[in-house]
Amino acid sequence: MQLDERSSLRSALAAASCGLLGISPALASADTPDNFQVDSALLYYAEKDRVKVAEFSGIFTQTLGEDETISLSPTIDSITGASPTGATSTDKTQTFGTNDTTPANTLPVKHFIDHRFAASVSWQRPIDRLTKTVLGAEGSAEHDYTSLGINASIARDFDNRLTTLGAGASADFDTVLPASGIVPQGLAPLGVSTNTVTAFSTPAEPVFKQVNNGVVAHTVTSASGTIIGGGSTSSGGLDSIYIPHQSRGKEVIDGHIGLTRVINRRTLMQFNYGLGISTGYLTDPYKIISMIDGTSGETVGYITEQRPQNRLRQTLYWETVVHLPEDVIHLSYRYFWDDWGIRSHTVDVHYDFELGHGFYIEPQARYYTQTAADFYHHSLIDGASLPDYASADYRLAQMTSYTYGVKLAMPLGQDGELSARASYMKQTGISHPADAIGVQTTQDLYPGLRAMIFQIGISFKL
Amino acid sequence: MNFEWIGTGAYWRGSFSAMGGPCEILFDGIDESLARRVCNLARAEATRIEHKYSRYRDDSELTRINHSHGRAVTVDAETAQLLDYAERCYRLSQGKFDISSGVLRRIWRFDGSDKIPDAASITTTLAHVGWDKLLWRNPVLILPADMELDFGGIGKEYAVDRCAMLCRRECDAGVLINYGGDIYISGPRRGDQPWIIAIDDPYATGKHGTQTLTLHKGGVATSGDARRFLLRDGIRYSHILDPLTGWPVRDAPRSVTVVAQSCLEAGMLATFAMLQGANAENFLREQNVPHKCIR
Repeated sequence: MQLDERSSLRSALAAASCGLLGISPALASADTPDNFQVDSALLYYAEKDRVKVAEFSGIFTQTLGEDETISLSPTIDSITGASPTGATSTDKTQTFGTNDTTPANTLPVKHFIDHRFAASVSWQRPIDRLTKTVLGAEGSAEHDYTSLGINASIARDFDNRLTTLGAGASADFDTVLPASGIVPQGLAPLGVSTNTVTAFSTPAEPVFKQVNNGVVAHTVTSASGTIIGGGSTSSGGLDSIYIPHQSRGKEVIDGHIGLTRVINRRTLMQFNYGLGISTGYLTDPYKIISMIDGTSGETVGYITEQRPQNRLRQTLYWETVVHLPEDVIHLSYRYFWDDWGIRSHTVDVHYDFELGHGFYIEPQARYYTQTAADFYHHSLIDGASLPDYASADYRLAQMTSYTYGVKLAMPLGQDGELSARASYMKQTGISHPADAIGVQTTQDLYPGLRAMIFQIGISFKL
Repeated sequence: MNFEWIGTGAYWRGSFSAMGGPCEILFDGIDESLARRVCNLARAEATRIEHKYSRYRDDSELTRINHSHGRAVTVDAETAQLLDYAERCYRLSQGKFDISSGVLRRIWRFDGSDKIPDAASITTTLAHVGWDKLLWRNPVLILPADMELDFGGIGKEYAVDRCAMLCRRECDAGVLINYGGDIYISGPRRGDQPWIIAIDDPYATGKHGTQTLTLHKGGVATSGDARRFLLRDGIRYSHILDPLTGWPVRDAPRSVTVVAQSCLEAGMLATFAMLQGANAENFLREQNVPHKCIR
């Protein structure tokens, strides 16, 4: 062909090709543009005879550009029920105030209602083709607890994208202000009866005096005689001696590094190491410890708990995902240890059975076991010297739990999913420890826990 | 659709048959479920284009045009764009690329034999060839009776580019689309690695690649007679027919492979180069496009 326009032929063809591709009709599509994604869930958690939690959570993700998203996650919890106070059951009725008694052979619990509102925002954006960053902030509020946090993480692909290395850090700043308005002093005796109240006149530091049979001072007065703190036994409830107007802070710093590796066409493996440091008020202001008679084992009084002001936590995590021709197996193991003496192992396995047409059923099993914190005591012996730290919180005790669950999911429209999950959790500990004394041997010192969890989830794109 | 993990290359490969040949899509750097979903979308798009522009289907849009018996037909926007493109290529090639030249294949059968049609049948057939004999005023086409159009040299390349657009929209992975040798690469492999393409050796067809191309992004198309030719009196007649003479182009390379911005552009440049015959290499050099010619 004798072309007059040889040099411009290529650009003319390029323009013609571009024109054809640019103007041609919209591409066939199996889904709508995925620029807004909604994931939401309703959860109901019910412990037998104890705490019940209803929770709504959602994640709303807006795509801003290629690989760039911003998401907002609100959570609303409603918590009701009864939580163990830390005091053990005895063979006699226990009185914690004029309106608060626990029958014999029954675990003392504290009834409460709380609502929690939390929200987090997260901005994910790529730095280049292989590197992604996430910046986030979060906040939550309960009537006695607020928390504010920030976090950042980065992940980069290596080795032809077969390997991803990630690192992240977060910082949280929490404030505890108990329902009473005042944070209790640690390891301080509680008033257990309406016996004599003795006033002290120490200005700064409150002074506690055990008068007899667990009865203590209930007011703290300044040098000028003004009452600056204290509790009235006539008001009932779990009063304690306290320092007034003190909300207490807690700072939590966490960091993690992780490695994700494509092992072969079917197997993905992930390793993580996490390090966390908590400092500040780590004590639970509502928990108490039974003081028992060293011979009879009878409860003679109660003291508030006291935990160390620091906690160093470390975690090793391994997960593998195996894609079978149709199904998917997830298997993970987590080892946790801290300088409180807690060591825990978690094994979790779930299996996605593909039922076809987007339906799947996912059985799940989880095993968890931990050792007790060094300062965990189911009770303390009256008259013996007090340890620096002590807690009878069941969550710090040696325990084992099993969770079994099943999830059923079905497709919803083009990109949505509707799912329902039910799980049963059973937690057991040492009900009859070797160091039980006298009547304690007749009591269940770790009553354990059983809970059902129901969840309904829905996700879709707009 | 067949879907598998190619361990040696570390990519997902979806393969299916469409447009009269094997089609494959390679995905690097995304998970299986997304790759499967995108591959299914691409297959649906390739199948849609095949059904719409196949010469062999009674219900295709092309068959409706070819069976119009000289009556005016109104075509839809997509077909109009393809006809505009075909007309543009006809003009740019000064009549050598012609989507109405397909009827010449009724007399030229490139089956490796020595059967060459006689001059009379060539002349008779040429009467039914020529874009200038039809009337095209978007959206109305009048195709004279006894003439036929086909989108050879456009349709498959168009399908590749359309599927590439679809893949780009659905995922950011490095995707290689290969529909019977017409290729588009949407982006590099993991770690910014290029894709490596072997060019079929016309002397040992289908057995191994003689040369390789490494490419991060763009369209690749090959025009060649590796599998389709006539051999008579020591002259090898390539399957590229010159619609102006009714004869195969003389001294054309065995195969021309061109790299360009899109598969459509690469395919058309390769076809144009073939139509240049002995001058193919010069033409490609003048156009300053990356290419490989095998003679």
